[in-house]
Amino acid sequence: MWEFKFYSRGGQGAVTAAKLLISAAILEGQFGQAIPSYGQERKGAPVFTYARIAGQQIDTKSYVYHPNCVLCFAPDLAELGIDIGAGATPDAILVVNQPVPRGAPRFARVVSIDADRITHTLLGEAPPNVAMLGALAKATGCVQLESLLKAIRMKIPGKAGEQNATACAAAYEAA
Amino acid sequence: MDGNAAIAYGVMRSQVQLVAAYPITPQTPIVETISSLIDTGQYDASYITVESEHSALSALIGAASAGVRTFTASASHGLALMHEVTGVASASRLPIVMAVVSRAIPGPMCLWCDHSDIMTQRDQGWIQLFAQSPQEALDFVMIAYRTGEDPRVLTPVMVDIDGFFCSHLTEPVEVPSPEEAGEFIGGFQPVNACLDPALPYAIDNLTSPEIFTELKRSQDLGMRAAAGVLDERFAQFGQLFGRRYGRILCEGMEDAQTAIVCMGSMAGTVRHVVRQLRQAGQRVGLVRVVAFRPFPTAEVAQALRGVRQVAVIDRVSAMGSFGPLYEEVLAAMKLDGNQNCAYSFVAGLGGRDIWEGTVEAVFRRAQALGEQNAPCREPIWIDLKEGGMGNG
Repeated sequence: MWEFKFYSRGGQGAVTAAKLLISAAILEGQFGQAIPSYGQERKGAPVFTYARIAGQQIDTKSYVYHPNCVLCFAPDLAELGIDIGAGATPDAILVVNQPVPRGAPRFARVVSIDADRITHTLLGEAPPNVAMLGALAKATGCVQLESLLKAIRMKIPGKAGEQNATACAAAYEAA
Repeated sequence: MDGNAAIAYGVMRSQVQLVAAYPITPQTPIVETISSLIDTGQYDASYITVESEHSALSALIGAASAGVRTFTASASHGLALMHEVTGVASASRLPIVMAVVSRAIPGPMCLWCDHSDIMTQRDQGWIQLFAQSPQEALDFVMIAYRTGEDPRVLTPVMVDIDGFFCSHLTEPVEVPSPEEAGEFIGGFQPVNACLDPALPYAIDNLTSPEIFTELKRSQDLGMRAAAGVLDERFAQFGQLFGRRYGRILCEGMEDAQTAIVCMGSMAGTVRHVVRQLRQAGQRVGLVRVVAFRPFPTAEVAQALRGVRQVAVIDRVSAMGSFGPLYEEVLAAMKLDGNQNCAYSFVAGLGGRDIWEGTVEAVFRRAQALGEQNAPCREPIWIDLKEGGMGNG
């Protein structure tokens, strides 16, 4: 079972990213589960989001305390004293929006991606969430890129969906 | 979809004709989804915008009295504001369905999950079903209408989902087609549809001591009849959709020495931990209460026969006494002549996560206490942090 913890700031689209990720898994016939942890919503505040993907039904309804994959949208969260390595399993993969933060060496593998630059180039002023997902799919193989693109087009219809799919695919190639 | 969306689709598939609700975290997406489904023409129903929860339920009482199938949803403060009228709905024998997205009752001010809101409604005469997952949220809404509207029952129903841990948890949900759902939900035959301009009629009028007791006993009998009707509906639902439910759902109880009793989303986590502990050779089981009202006293008692120690987890503190689920379970055991140890646990208040570690701690503590035949003098606050307490 894949168990994910997403570290982000409010406005970066991590909650939507978790939903898109498990939509992709469900499209493949896997079981997926996304659990955001809400606070007093403020743009820029730290946001933790959790997800699981497995071949069969997931009974657990709690947050993820021992992720085997961490997705870090905001490397500067370390400056707030937030440890993105907390509880990670020894074989955990880190997918991180550049630059790579302190603490990263504790991960078995680190994949960094300039999700902000890819997003700004292809989408303009938009959250880096679909680019982060592209890198996640490449790093873990937990879902196929095609499933992610389909999930993005289902969630965001029209031209905006196509542009987001392009950004996701570009990050997949770059990761 | 998440639990809130699942509730909204359950309402649409139940062919509800009128929705009146006031938004409140974490229930708001239910209101948003339903109004959007209506606005985009996917769902043919009326939606009344109201100025408060008190008005929302009052509007439904009027509509249901005219023979309309109705729905509302609330949480925490909103449910508290509605409290005055929840008793009117049940005493008027109107089969309204309400989703309660459980959130702590203040204070202190809190957005997050516990059962202190729905437990204020425990004795208001509503059937109470606790769903564990988004799929169950949808399914239980449909089962709620078919149960509450049964002429033997005529009682409103609350479908409880845990705030955030179910309301905002996204999982795969099978949404039945309108035809499939229609086969189960059938046509609505209102019974107490008394409002008729041609025949002026007072409803819920001042009721004298001559008849009040008889009306309350009638309600009690309707609620008790709901047990058998729920069994029928769960069985029928299982035949049509392949998802099997009951008023209690057990796991590993055939040889359990330790039983964990709980409700709501935590039941999924407990089930997961029970399976892991059993694989490690521990004889532990889960008794999950789905219907808190009417309480499945006989079923719980039977499930707990032969168990050495019972751990009951309440997601609420009945300050100064024991949790409401614990008291029900203890009464069921006592009435069954079961003198084995039962321990009261409080956990998951105000959004604190009940995770695998919490459940393992409950199991270990109950097992250790049971081996010493220790009495349960007061609830055990199993996820309490050291420090942080004080009166000043």
